[in-house]
Amino acid sequence: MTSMPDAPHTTRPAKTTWRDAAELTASAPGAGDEFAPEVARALATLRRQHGLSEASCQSDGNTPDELARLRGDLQEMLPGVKRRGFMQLTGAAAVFALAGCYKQHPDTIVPYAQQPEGTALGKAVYYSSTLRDSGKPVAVMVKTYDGRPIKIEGNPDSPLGRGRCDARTQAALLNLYDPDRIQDGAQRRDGATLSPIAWADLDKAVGAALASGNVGLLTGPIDGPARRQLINELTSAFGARLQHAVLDPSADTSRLADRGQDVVYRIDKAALLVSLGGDFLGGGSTGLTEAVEFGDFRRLRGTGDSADLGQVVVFEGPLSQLGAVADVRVRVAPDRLALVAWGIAEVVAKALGQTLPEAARTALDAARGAKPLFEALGLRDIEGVDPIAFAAGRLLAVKKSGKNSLVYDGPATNAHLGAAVNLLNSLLGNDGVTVDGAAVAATAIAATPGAAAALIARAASGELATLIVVDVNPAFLFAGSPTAKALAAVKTLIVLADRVTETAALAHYIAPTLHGLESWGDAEARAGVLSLQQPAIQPLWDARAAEESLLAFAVAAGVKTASFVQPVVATDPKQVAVVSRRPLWQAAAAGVQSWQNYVRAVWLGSVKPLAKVVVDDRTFWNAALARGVVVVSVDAKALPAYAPPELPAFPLPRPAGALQLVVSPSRVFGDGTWLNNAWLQETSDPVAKITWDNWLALSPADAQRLGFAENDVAKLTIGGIAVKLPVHVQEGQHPGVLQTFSGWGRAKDRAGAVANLGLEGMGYSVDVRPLAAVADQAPTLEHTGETWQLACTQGHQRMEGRDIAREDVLELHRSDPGARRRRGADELWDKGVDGKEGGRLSVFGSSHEYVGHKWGMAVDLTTCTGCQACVVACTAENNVPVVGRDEVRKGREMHWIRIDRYYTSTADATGRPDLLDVEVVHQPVMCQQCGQAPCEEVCPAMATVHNDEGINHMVYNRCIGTRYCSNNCPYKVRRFNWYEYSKYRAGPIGSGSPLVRIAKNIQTSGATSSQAELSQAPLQMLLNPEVTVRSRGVMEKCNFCLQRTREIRETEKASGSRAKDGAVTTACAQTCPTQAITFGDLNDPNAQVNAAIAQAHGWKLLDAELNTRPAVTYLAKIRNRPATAEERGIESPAAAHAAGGKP
Amino acid sequence: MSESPTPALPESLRGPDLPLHLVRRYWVLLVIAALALGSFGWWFLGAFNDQHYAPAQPIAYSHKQHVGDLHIDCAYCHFNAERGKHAGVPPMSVCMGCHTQVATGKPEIKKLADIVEKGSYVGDDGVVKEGGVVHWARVHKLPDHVYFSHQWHVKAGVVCQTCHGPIEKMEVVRQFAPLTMGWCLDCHRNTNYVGGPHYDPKQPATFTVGTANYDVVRARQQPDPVVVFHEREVKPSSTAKPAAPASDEVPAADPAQNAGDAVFGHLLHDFPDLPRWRLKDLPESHRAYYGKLYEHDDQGKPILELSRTFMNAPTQCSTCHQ
Repeated sequence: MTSMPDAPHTTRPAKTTWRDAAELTASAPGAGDEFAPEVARALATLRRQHGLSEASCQSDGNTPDELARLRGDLQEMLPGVKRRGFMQLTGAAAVFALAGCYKQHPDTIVPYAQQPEGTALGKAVYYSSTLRDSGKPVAVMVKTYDGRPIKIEGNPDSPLGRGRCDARTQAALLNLYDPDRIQDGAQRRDGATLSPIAWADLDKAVGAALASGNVGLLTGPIDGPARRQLINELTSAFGARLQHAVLDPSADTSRLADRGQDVVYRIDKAALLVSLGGDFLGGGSTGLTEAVEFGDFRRLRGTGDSADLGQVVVFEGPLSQLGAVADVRVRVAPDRLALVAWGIAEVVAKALGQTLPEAARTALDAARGAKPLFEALGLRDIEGVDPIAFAAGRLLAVKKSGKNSLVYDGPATNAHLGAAVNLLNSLLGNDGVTVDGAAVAATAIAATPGAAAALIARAASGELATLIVVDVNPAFLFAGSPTAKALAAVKTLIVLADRVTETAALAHYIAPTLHGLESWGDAEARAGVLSLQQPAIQPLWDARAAEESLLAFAVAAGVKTASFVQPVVATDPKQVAVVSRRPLWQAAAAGVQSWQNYVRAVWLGSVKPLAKVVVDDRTFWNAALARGVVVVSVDAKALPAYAPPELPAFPLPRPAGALQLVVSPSRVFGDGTWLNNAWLQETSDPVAKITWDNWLALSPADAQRLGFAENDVAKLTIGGIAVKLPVHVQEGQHPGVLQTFSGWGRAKDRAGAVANLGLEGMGYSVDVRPLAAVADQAPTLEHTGETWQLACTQGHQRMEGRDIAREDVLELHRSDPGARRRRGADELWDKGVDGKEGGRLSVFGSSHEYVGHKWGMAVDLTTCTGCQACVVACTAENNVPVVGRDEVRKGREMHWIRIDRYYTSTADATGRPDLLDVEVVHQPVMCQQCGQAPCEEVCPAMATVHNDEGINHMVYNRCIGTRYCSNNCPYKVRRFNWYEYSKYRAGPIGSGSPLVRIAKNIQTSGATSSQAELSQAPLQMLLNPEVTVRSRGVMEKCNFCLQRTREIRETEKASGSRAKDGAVTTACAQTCPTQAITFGDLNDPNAQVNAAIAQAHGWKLLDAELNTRPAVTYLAKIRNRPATAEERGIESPAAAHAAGGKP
Repeated sequence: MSESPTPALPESLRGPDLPLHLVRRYWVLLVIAALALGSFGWWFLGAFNDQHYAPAQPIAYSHKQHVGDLHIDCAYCHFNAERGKHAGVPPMSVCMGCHTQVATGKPEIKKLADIVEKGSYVGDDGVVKEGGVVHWARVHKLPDHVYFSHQWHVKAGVVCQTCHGPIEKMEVVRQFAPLTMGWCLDCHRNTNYVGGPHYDPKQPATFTVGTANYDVVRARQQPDPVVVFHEREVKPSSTAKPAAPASDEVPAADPAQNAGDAVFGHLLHDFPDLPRWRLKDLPESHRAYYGKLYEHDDQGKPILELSRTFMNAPTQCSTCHQ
């Protein structure tokens, strides 16, 4: 600085010079903590002026608390700097930061040692593989980028999944990189502490235990030729000393108990689904395949009078995911479901000239008394028709027309209900068609109910000296039961698990297993549909495949004759795990055939002959790996004719309105294996729209009667077990029914750091599975006086009387498919104000002309089941961060696509909507890519603009975070980065300090380069390198997977021809199990999307009102039910009151 | 100052008097301020890019020697530039394809071979660099949100030096261009390269970028607009003669019978894209050496430990035989 020799004003303050931030801090004037009180005062004034309550201000997010946190963030960056000091520092930093820009921060390029033939840098490679969701296999394609799996898609060659994928399988990717997996190899428990043990020592110890006594083996379902053969070989090697049982939480216990055989439901072959308390979509016993087939069943076929779609009639107490898409839903108390089922069976049997068992007739007569059965059971009528007669009539009509129906009750064990359902399917000729015994995949042994518990009991009693538990978690699945306690009494417990689960914590030895994307294997999803599993990445941590562990144990136990015993061969010691850098266990060095070679040998030996192809082994194997799925013909086992068992006496129904508890598997987590998955934690429940916590669903009638409001914490006591859960008032739930969900409540550190965030004090991840065992007792509810704000993604998204999600009834749609559209404001639009289209007022001037591609989308609300697969697929594809519970509570969830759930019902005379008999519409909402986008007009930085393919995209580096665009977006699809979310694993608040390192055993000094890289950027391996990771202060939103449409341009350039329809699709459309979303080029006249949007019941969201010209077209939900008198007669939708979220 | 001969402007048109006395008094300060402002502006203009960034590399690889002196084609090593978005750095197999034979005694090559042999090395930062590959310092880096593909620029005939500068003269690679958006636009606007010089957005058929006669450009039949290669000074060959092992197993050379196929026939089966000229034109001495790469001893191990082949790169004779 230059001095000013003759400056007259001498009162200039003394200059401060500093060397670094620390010195400045020391010399800064002691500016007190003046920030928070100022804000609090200002807020208080605002509240007074606007007459707002404390709560309403807080919901906006700008609370003193919030600001304090933000300031805390800053102080974390600059410890000890007060506000004034900070301001001074900022001025200086501005200059030095600019100087800092000059030098790029150092980065490295790591080349291939040897680049694989045919690859190019920056191009993804896809591998076919198979993943398991709670034991159910899903054939997938794994997208890898530079050797790292970054996205999972369905395998299009699979006749079951047909290229689509469900939410859990999409999220399986995150489990691969989960730092809570066991990282440092095999473990041995000594008292309470676990210590690493060499694999060879583990095998020796386990081998000795196996050689000395009887062995129990507890696994998940064992399908797939190689996995079956492995178990068979082990069984023959150990003989009677090995006892094997299967623990399959998703097994259909109802069928197994009543029919003695598992069955496959073929909903795609049915014209009618009658569900009695079962949740076909979210109930846990059905999987991706059933969801895909449900899409076929529900898709609107034909036009005009021939228009038709499968009908869904549901009798249930709580509102299930199937109930939410049902055409006719009749509320009934769960304990009366069996009577309803037998009531339907009675009508059907009568029409077919059959009689019911004596016990059923007696029970029905006793129940109905003098009234019609439906009245006695407290059911509503359907437009004046007895619902039981309606369902029976529909079943008979479908049978008469030569089609098939399906009666379904879910996997729950209820002897009376199960018998009625089996009898109905049998009477209606559904056995062998929609109830298919032949399609059940061959397994090594059947998942008999009770077998697992019996095996554990035998092990605890000392009958079995050793128990090996493979990839299942009985200590959690049997929590609270004697079986879980029995596990602790097992003499030698060996657990094969990927983390220290509840069961593994009891184990004497833990053999860490690999993720499905790291290991070999095979599966049989349905009879004859064989799929291969191949690794897409080298093991990240020191672990080995569960099957390989079993092979090694058997060899160590002295098995000599099996095919997998091989001479010891010296191997390459350089094979190490990717991240932990520990040498990997190698089968050949231990005299064991590697699991990879085992799978290959079995496939060449037994699958190749079945496939009936004349090629050499190498070609077959390569082709099988490339395709991933081989379909072979197998001997069909006919389903034996059903003979109703002797029914015990029917239990007496409880008095009307008495409380009863229903425990269902979580619709997001299934059995809870993946509770540590932050993507799933942030995925909202398809019906309740709640994330991060378990809840108690209460009927609106009960909530009013018992004085509970949303977010009150209730104490639920049943059978001597008490749990505290926050209350969610669930529209559509039958009075008296309490519903809560199992799959939550993994013990501390047993699932991992993310699951821990729901532990007591931090959240409500409560295990309610013990309650299921005593659910037939009477529950009591008490107030605790506490409240807990559930992180709900809906409740702030209501229709507000607008015509947002449209629906129509099939019979009205047949006669006039465009009527519903005209009834809305679209009539205005079609005509135009001055009689021609486009003559409406607009601030935009003339619209753009798109000469190349013009991307567009059609969303069919009829087939959408609200399953959230699209949401997780989008998260994986677009590097959408997890924001955590607190941020979701503030409405800051980052998902680029959301599924809005609206309730519709008739209003009573006072205009209050009926909260019990509601119908539900699911509406996926992503950025509508408006042709005339309101967001673009208000951005002061030109950060959001249109490209020449009609996509409205964000230029992140231009965005200055004014959020004007978000305020001006009528669809509320824009998301703002309030924090550097990508830094955190489960959101900035609640997850403690940012996860600086993902790996526990990584030290910064002396680390290897890949460890150092990972430690600087947690979970970075997961990111899609095609998509920018957004930073704090930037707006983001859906851009129709811009990286995908961009990539197709490359292909077009290279080939010189326009891409075919279907060559490019968005992540959501690609994964949608029911194909509710169609994506394509609107300028391509042959594109599927154009056929979809041309339908008369299509409309564009809020376009008529706002003239935004979206590129997304919605197809109205068509309900296959009798039209009400109002719907027949009226022309205005005023009578159908639309309300969303809370009343 | 003397009186001005021109008549004075009317009062109403006269501007305010400039404070010339202040200028006279403080002219030193003003000049300093102007200089300071000017130099700040000059710095500011270049402050937000990494032009001239030239980090030290773990191996002192010289582009001047390989490109300038030896005339090795850029795409020999950076073959990914033709295939995709990233030019990339060559796989180690490309380095070792030559350097198992060439200049094996030089210290930097020894370092290189050591890295390949040992599978890892300790970098200057004390971190163990894994993979048996060199962890090069990255020179050119575009922001995440930029979409740039080498492929199309190469195919359109843009020579490497247009953006990367006289790389054949650089001992240490430095960033030649600012790589800013304005710099991209300078070129794209001037050449109308977004769709080609005759691109009319209303007529998709006029979109011509990517349709340039790539073969012609690559064959260097057109004069290179940026680089003028110097005639290479031919030195007497002192080293670089591979010690060919005894070639008993190799069938006798019979150029008429295309003897290369006898050795490489199975390769043609496995890699149908492999250019045939490469095989049939190989002289016997080369077949004797490289043929060993694909032969195995009784235990199934390759006879030569050189498992890293030259398969990845578009190998040309001129690489060694200028």
